[in-house]
Amino acid sequence: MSDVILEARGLTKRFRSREEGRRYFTAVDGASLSLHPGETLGLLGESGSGKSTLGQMLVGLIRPDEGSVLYRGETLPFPFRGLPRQKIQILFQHPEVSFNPQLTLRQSLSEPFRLRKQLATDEALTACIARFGLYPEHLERRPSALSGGELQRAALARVLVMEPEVILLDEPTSMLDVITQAQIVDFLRRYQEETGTSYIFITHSTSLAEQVCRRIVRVKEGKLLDSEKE
Amino acid sequence: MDETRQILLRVEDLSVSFEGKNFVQAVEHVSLEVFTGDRLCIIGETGSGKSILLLAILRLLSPTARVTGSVRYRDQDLFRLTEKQLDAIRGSRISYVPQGSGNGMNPLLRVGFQVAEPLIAHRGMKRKPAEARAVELLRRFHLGREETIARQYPFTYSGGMRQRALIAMGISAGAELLFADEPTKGLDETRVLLTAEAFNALEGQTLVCVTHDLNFARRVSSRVCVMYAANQVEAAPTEELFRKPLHPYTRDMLAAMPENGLRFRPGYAPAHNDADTAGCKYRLRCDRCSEKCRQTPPMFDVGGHQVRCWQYE
Repeated sequence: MSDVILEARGLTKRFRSREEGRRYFTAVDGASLSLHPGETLGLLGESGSGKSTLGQMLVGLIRPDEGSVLYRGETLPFPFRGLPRQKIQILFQHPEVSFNPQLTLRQSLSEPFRLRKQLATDEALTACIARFGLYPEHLERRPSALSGGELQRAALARVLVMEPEVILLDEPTSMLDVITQAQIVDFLRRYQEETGTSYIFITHSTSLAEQVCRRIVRVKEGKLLDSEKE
Repeated sequence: MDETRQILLRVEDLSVSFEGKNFVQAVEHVSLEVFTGDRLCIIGETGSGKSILLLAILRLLSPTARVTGSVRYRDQDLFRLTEKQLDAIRGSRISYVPQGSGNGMNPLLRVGFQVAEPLIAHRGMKRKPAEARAVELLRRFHLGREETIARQYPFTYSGGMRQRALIAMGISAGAELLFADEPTKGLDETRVLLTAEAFNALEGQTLVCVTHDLNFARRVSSRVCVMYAANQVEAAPTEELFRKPLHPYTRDMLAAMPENGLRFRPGYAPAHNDADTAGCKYRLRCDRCSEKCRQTPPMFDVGGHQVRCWQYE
């Protein structure tokens, strides 16, 4: 795998510090990494290590203070626009806040169809959720009437409508039970084999990272420690 | 069993349903006994009814929920108490750590005061010593710079910090029965260990904890109850359950742990209003399913190890 789909060059992010005597706190400090097509790269670290901040800079949710993000060799301006914005997607840790609480699942899932100028027909929506074990009755419910596992599966279904090339998975299973976790991991693995989608998998669980990722980069206090290859 | 242990909580045949446009059977015929000093963990997948069960026991569900069965705490029937009588118990003798670090705290009050509040309200302590005690409690959960952060508001905390502060709030008044709903959700491995240590250090408190984290359950509990699709399917002493699970669902759950290779059986729990799954709820996913499984299995008792399965061995 010689080509690189997404690259970080010297990404740095500082936040204003609330501690006395310290003006800034460096969340990510000069992080560089590359993501190849079809691979799963793990970012492993404790909470507060900066792995989520790094992830969010990689997908254009946070503006880096220094450094740049390159998609297929081209530097992306912040915020991302056009094709890269469609092709780089994120699945959040907390499924309950990934959805607008006022909309039914049908309304939330129709949105990506609209963005792609497709019709969100009953068939399309049902097909989109059926592979995640959700039923048409779920479409009429609001997020408060769905369990965390159901919501996370629905969130993944929504991400995939955009046919992304890169998905940032930010602790996607840390709120879920072990069987739902194993199912989501298995689904992601098969989807990757079919489509060659690349994943950045953020986790604090060493055992999970070892099972899921081809390459693991450890993050500590905002710095990338190493990269190991299996 | 230790003769001095008394029964603290007895849940009998508890069922919860939500009626309306979408009928949902959230909990079906659950019976539990909790003795003083017990550490019970209720495990199972999201949507299996574990959290609803806790809320139903504490009478914290909305009026749209239909709850049947009975809950006795010591010699009182919790379902027959007036709100006022119940308020004298909740917070003082039974405390509850809610799920979700985001909305369990009052955003307008300093965290130290919120942790101290149960001491002021239920133990008659003055504000100053109660707040000093709150700092000690926060220290027990290793939040760091506890003196300073006790004076801060919840929004300045990370999710994991809020989660631990909530537990500190739950244990502060020293209620004899502590309910905790997913106390480690979203915490990293180190912090899960610290939370387990803090729970294990509780003295004289009985714990009923809902969790989906099997390693955490193994560390803190003396007994585990497994729920699947609104039903209690297995209950046993913790080590026995992990070493020799009897229900196919429990076995599948252990096999799906990352350290066991993330193996899983295809399929999902049936929809909450699915009439086709009369009988054992797991039968559509189970490799041992037979004709008999179309009938609902009773709870079998195998030397103190309870299992709701016709095919257990």
